Amino acid sequence: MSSPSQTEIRHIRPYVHYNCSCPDVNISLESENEETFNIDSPRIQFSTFSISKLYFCNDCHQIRCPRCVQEEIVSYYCPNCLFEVPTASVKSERNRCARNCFQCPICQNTLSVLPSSEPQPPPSPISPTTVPVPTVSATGAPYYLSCGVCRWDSQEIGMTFEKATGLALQLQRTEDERPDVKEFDHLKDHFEKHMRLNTPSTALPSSLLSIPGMSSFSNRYGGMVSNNQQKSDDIVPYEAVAKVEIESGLVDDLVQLKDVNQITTLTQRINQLSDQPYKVERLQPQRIHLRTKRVKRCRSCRHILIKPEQKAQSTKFKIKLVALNNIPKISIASLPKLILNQRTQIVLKFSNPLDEEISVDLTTQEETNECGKVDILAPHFNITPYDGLWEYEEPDLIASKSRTAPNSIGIYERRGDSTSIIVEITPLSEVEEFRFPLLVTYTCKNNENDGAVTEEKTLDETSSLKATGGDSTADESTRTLSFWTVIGLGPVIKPPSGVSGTLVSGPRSEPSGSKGVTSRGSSGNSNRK
Amino acid sequence: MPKDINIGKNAVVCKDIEIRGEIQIGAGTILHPQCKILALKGPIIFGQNNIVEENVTIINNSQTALTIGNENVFEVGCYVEGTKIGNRNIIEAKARILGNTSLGDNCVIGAVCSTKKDEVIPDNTVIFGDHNNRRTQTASANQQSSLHTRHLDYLREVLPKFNHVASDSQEAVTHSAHSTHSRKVKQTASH
Repeated sequence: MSSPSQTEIRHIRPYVHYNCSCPDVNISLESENEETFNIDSPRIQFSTFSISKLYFCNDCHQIRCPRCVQEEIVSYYCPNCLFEVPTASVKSERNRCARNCFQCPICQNTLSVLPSSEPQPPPSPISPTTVPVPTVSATGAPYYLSCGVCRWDSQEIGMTFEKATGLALQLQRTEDERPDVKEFDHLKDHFEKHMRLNTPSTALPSSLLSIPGMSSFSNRYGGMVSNNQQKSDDIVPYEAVAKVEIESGLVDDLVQLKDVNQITTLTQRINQLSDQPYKVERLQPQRIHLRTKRVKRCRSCRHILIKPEQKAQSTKFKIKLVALNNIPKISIASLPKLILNQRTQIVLKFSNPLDEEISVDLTTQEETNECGKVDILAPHFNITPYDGLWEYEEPDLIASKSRTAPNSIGIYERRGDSTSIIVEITPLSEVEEFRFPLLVTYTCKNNENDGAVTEEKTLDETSSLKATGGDSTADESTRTLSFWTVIGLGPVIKPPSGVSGTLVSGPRSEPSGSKGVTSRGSSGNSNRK
Repeated sequence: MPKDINIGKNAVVCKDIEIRGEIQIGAGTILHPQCKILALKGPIIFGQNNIVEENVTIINNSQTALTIGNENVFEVGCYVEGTKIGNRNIIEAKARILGNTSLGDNCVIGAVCSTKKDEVIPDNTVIFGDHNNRRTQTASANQQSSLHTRHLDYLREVLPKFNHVASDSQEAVTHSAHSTHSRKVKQTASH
């Protein structure tokens, strides 16, 4: 808010990022085995993501990240009016909205259309109007564009409209007069004839046309002989229509500038690529860019991971295979301040999104992290799945009903569908960001495929299996998946003077910078049944 | 601290506000409930037809009077501590006017934007954006003044229906926890 806070060191927030080993991208690094994970390599910035950005392929049983999914466009829509533009007219409108949606040239927010004055009710035809009626029409024309954020309006550049709808159409004429548009049309006209003659109009099926070199092949066998001569004739040297004007006054104006606010910023210039003016008065509102809805596929098995609904207004998905619904979510439940050379305990909360119980194993790197020592007090534990009945029960009963493992050392709490464990951190160097890698392996018993498996068995074998009935007594397959995570805990500070000894601080009720997960203030569960 | 507040004609001052010090409220000004007008060291003088919305803090920490002009709008959650506010300004939600700044006429301080301390902001300035950019707006006052009049009319009609309101001639609108005087609840004609 106030400027002093902006000049301070930027606050480094704690995070938990998951690493995606994109299979087809990192082929050369297969030599890197699962045990090593170089936390300092620059690749970490690009291959680790927070869990909200990851997808999960059910067939490959692997995490997929935004870099290793394949995207196809489903539809184009305008983000302002949410109008779905048919694919055919996208190209003709140059990927912009063809209706009333414009962008403020100063601050790039959406402009709204306002009448110049209040719409007056039309005068009644009975009474003779002796009062002078202003020249503004009853509907409030002329209309203009106005920005709600920076209070710019198009009357400043003299742009007004007669009707409130179809503004893009009203601007179409001036747009077509622009030199770059005219130049492009002239280029198209010049080369169109040439291109039409060059494309092979033969009996070749179109599927073969993508092979390069095929066109010359076809010309030899199917095309007319006279084509070859016409080709060389048509390449007339092109003459440009637009003349590049050099504004002689611009340089003088720029030299005499006193105030930097009279010049356009880089963002403003990039948004008006046709002429990129230096002067603020020459900025014009641009039409709003269209956005796309895309289908995302796994690159290895081509299954669809994300499929949105076609309608622009709906934000739902027909298919939504995201990592949040498949892999355990790790969050930092309690993070006291990290002080150099003092052993502090942090609490990591693992939550289980599946319907089955999972067992989780954690390991750290073998060689010591240069930031400090990390001790996991509970390397193996189970997490119970979510049970719908919990909504109807007392919160205290939920915790007591979940199963406890035989050894609950290091487990801070089991509650509902999550287990929180304690990790001891001893920072050994004063770094801006303490982070460490963690290899998470989870195993889940999978009962899905049992129906099919037992059916096959009863068909092949005869008496023995039929007697047992073909249900869940057949073997259960277990699925295992392991992935690396990088956990960042924020800065390490020097011990304040006067504090000595190891500080084993428990979790507070308001942890600093935790990811919105409320930590339970209750004590541990060592005595719970 | 003696609470001494002078309410002008037709002003709508809700009772559930926190006020300290010497305050003058001009004719037609509307104070929503839950606002804080703290004239700690010097008086605060409101002009006419202002609108002060909920959770607004207007503080005067200096001996000189804080003069607020006419037809300003102080939107929800803003913090005002200047020396002088002009007319027809809009101070949007959670904006901050710090220190000894004085604001001219017809300005707009955008949402969550703030001024620096000890500034003199000229007329028609707009402060907007993430980085408190500034620019000057051309006066398009017609639209805003008619909108403001309609806003005032609506509030005068609706606010007394749902809040206890101090009437014109009465003095000392105290904080609800210390209410000792009996009050007449202002009745509007339409009610």
